[in-house]
Amino acid sequence: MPGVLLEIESILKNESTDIEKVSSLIERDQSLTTNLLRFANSPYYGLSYHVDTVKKAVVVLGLNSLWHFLVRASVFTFMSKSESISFDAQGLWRHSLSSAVATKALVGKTNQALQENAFICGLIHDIGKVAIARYLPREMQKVLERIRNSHMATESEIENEVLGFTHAHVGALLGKKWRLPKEYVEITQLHHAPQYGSHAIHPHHMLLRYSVYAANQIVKALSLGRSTDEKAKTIASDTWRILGITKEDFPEIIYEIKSNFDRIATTWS
Amino acid sequence: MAEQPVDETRNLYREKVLLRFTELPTDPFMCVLFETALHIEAMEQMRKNSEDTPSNSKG
Repeated sequence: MPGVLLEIESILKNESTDIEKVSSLIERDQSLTTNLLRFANSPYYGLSYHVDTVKKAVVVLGLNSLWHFLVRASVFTFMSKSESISFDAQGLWRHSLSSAVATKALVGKTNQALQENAFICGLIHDIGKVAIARYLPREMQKVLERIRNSHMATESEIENEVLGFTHAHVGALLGKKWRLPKEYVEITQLHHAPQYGSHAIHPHHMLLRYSVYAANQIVKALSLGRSTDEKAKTIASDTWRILGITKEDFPEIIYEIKSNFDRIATTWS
Repeated sequence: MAEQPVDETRNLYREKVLLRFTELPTDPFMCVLFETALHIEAMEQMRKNSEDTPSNSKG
């Protein structure tokens, strides 16, 4: 995560946050400034006036949304720098984005206040793959070959065999390093196996955990983006009870995921 | 007889969408996911086909 973002994150943790200080830190980064102004002026906020300064944008977004915006921008920067590595980085970016959209839609069914958190959790779930591909490209190549040729072993089993760890572990380590909330770190670690985490947790956390897990499979079935392991696995039946989704609700949520992804992909790609 | 090409196209989409799953969907929610994905795929293909077909009005 860029230094400027870690500095801002430290400031945001203080109770008396200095908006001037946050704004001047953001202004140091030209690309962050441009993106923040574009986001504040986007139809998402539907403002009748133009936001033309970073300070105004910070006020419009509020500190919580600003923090989520910064994490999104960091993940985008981290993933978009992956062009030279040996897999379809653009496809994985689209998979991450569609998972974010799907997680948000699943959570929105029962808790709209959590949708911003849901988007981030979906977006970051595969960051471990980007780190492995960047720092261990040959090993990643080997993992991908094995996935293509294997019909029985799961991606995590192959990663454990080749690397001795999984992309979920690496993603969780990266999340810790980026000082993401511990719930996000745990959700990243468990995105293939939510049942292994503690169940004695806040219902919001449980909702996010199972939403990321289900979203990851749903977008594979819809072929939105391209993960390194492309096929959708059967989603555990407990999931729907935890998410509060019935079979009757489900098609509408799937159409919503598809149309929201089509809309957002053009501005984020 | 006239419906045959439609059925063939539907089967083609069915096979294409089925390839995205690790196993044949039998769980009720996975069946809904499969059928909805199939419908979306058919709609996408229809949209692409109509975009690829030159407009008659320009004749």
